[in-house]
Amino acid sequence: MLILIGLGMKFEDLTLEAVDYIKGADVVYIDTYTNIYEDYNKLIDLVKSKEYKLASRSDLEGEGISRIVEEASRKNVAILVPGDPLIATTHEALRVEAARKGVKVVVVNGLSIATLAFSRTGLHFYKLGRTITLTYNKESAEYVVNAIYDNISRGLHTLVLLDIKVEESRAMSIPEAVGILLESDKRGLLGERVAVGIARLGFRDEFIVADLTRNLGNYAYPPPPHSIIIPGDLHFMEVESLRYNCRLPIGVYEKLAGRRI
Amino acid sequence: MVKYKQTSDVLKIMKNLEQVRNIGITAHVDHGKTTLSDSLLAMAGLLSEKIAGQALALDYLDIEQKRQMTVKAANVSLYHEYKGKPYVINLIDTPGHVDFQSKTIRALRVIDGAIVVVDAVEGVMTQTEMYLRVALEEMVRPVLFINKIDRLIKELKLSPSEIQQRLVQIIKDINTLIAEYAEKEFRSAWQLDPAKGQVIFGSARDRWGFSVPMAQQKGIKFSDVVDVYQRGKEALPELQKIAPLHEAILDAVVKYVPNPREAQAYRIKKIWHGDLNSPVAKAMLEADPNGPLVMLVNDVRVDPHAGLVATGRVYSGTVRAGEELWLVNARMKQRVLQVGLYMGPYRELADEISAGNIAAVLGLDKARSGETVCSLEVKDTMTPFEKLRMITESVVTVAVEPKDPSQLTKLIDALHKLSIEDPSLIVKINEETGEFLLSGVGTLHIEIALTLLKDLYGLDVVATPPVIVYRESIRASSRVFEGKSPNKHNKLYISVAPLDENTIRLIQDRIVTEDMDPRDRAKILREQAGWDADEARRIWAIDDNINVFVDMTSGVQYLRDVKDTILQGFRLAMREGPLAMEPVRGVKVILHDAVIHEDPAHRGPAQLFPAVRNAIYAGMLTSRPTLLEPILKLDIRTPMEFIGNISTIITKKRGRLIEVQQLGNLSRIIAEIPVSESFTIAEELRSATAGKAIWGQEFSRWAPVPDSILTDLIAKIRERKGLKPEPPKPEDFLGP
Ligand SMILES: Nc1nc2c(ncn2[C@@H]2O[C@H](COP(=O)(O)OP(=O)(O)O)[C@@H](O)[C@H]2O)c(=O)[nH]1
Ligand SMILES: [Mg+2]
Repeated sequence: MLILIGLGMKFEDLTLEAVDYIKGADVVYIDTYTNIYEDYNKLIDLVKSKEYKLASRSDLEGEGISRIVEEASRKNVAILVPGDPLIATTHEALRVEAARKGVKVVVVNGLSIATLAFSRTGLHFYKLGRTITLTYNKESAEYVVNAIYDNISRGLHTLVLLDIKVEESRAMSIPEAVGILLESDKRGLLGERVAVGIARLGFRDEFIVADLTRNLGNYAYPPPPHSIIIPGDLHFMEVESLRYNCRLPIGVYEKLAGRRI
Repeated sequence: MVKYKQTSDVLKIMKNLEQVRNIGITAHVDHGKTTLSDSLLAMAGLLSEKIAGQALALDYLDIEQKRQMTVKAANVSLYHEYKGKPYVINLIDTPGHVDFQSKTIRALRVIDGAIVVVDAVEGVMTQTEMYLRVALEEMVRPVLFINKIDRLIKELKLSPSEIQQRLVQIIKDINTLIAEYAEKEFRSAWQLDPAKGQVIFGSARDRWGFSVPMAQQKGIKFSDVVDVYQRGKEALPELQKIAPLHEAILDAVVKYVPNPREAQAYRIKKIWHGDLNSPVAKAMLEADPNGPLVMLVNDVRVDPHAGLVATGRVYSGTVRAGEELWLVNARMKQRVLQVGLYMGPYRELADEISAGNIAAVLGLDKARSGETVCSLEVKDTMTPFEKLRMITESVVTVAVEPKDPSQLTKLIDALHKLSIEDPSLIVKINEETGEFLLSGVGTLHIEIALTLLKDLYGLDVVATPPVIVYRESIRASSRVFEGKSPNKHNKLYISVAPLDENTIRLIQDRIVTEDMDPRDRAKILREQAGWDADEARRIWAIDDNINVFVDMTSGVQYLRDVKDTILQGFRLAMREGPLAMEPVRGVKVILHDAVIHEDPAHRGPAQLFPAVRNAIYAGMLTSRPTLLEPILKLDIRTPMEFIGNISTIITKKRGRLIEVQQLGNLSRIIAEIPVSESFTIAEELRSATAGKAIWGQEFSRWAPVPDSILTDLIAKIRERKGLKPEPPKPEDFLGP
């Protein structure tokens, strides 16, 4: 059996179901390369009595896929993934390959940034447009800006995930991302729109702030993981949420409350 | 006795071409070429008064240093007065024994006359004959210096009349060669007549010399010379005073070597192969200072202070600081920053240098030895003196490090300079190991480079044994393979095919490049290499090792966003092929279709590089992959009787004779052998010809290794790199 388990953002996010499956697994792989997660030590405490491996990309992708599926055909193999195992960071290829080989798959979901971001900010989930990652790859910036405008033109919010390269030990910060976005913003409208900076969402030292995009880089954020939401049309309740959940500066708030963007 | 002059005076002389001569020295090894140039520099070298002041202070004229200067200088200018008139004589370095071919011929194109040095004891030897022959072919007029007369007296103890007999014989031998090898029009005109002062007898080491007319005029007889040597060292200054070597030699040069204008009138047709009726040709034939600029760069050196210095002969027009000029082989324009003339071995600033003279030019830092430089007005029609083959690929490589680790920066600097002076030397850093890799066209080439590091830069280096770098290529086209990214969210559909010879040549000659206008490129490929019009327009990339990436997809979503990533993946895959991780050459990679994930996080380099590589490797492994090995071209000149021996050696080394020409009793053999078989060729040729053959070697081409040795060779290379001996199979690159 192949068990895909979402860890959420911190150790306390583990569900009871997840803990049961982990305890029952023969082999545990802990994904260490797709996201930043701080409680590996506590996880290791939980699994140290059994066979476990801190997995890198080559264990879970490429040729690793058939190896794991083969192993899962004989044993209970649990794969522990920060966040949700199949949202944003996706191990879908594992699930499909297991199904193709007739190996049973169980998914235990975890908290995902995709829902948490809306839950925490109060922005309406119903207006979530295309989610997109801003990577260090230079061609991605223009692509991301286009996607943002595309969402805005339809009144939709854009969740911009910022690149995390655990293997190269670097991750993009909000100030960095704001710089890249504004530089690639040929139409020049983004700077004056409101955006929400989301740092370490779901971590103990989470920090969320809303402001005009051009000001968003000026805050002192805790280290990544970071993301940004660039709202489309705002419902009046959303404006209130930005003010009271996300510290939107009063001046910007008053303008928004007056005329809506 | 060096002449101290204002540069302005020298420039004035240079304006009047009747007072300019461009010459070189040729000799069989050890007959005294270096000694003669050193003596001439010491006795007749030019120095600007400015330098002279500093030089004296630093005791600059110390013999050892001068010796080094002649080794180092591209040109040494000499000053001579003949019948009360001043002359500037440029003595251009004509490289001797090692690299016979291109460098020697290039230098011969720049000079109009040559002093042929012959050791009086040894007489005319093979190399004397060979260099003389090539010089005559290039219409360079010889004068003869019979050197080491002292040996006839001290070692052979010949009597004055015996000495004369011997000298007559040498002159006769040289004249026979001139009759045989000179162009028809000069066969008798260039015969050397001692009575006219066309032959000088003397000693380069002891710095005396005279011609027959000089001897008659000054009343010197051979018995006087014998007498001087019998009296011993103290008597020498007498002889040096009454018969100064430089006077004897330079009188002959002024009198018998044509001035640059006279020479160009008959030489252009021989050394340049453009249209002789064009205005450029006319200007060159007349050495017209007002014509379009044409300059042949025969030497490029890196000066620690000034940067790259290109030295060459101006054939037409005038080179001026500040002007933009066209580099014909490099296909680009560059601005001249400074122009200089040579004063002795030193460069001095000038405003301009006009046709017929030797100029040193700063600012043309893309110029390499052999480059033709011209005015922008004639850039589209200019025929270069020679077509330079830009080899940017490594053939034989060693890793080098300084014996003294603190000299690392010095080594890096020296390597860089060497590679500019000799563009077929390539320096790279192995990014994984941090080693400095020095690549050349053969082991001999590398050995010379290591010697230069020591001689010119005083660097002792440790070098690994040379390793031949092969290329991987294919001999058939593949079907389309699916390359999947590790996350299985991206798929690329790719096939590979061998590039045809025409395309490879167009890319190698830089007629087709990655950064040219795509429409122009498509047109050339269509017309000259038979490419399909649509395919030719869809080229995305051409890499350094001559591989092409073509995008034949239509309407693939997000493809534009990952184009750069895909191309980086392509370039990486081409750097290390599937057979033995050697660079790939001559492969066309065609992208037919693709499915790309919508989010940038899932289509980055970590995902797309393997997708590209896997499809290309699977394609290559199913397309009769092979290794290409570098092949050397040998141009051997040898007395006829050794042809059989040489041919045996060549054949034994998997080589072949391409051409054998008979030139009197001398033969020219053009042959090819694989670099891998060439490591001991020098010794073998020498011993098979009693040291009488000379040859040049250059990189010729890449050729598939014989199938019979392919598997073993792959295993050998892989094992050297710490890989398992068997190459991977296509299945290894295909996902489930
Ligand atoms: N006896 C004698 N030896 C000479 C004379 N000129 C040169 N040599 C010696 O011949 C050897 C070779 O001379 P070199 O100039 O290096 O010859 P290259 O190989 O033609 O450049 C050196 O040892 C010189 O000292 C000469 O006039 N008399
Ligand atoms: Mg020498």
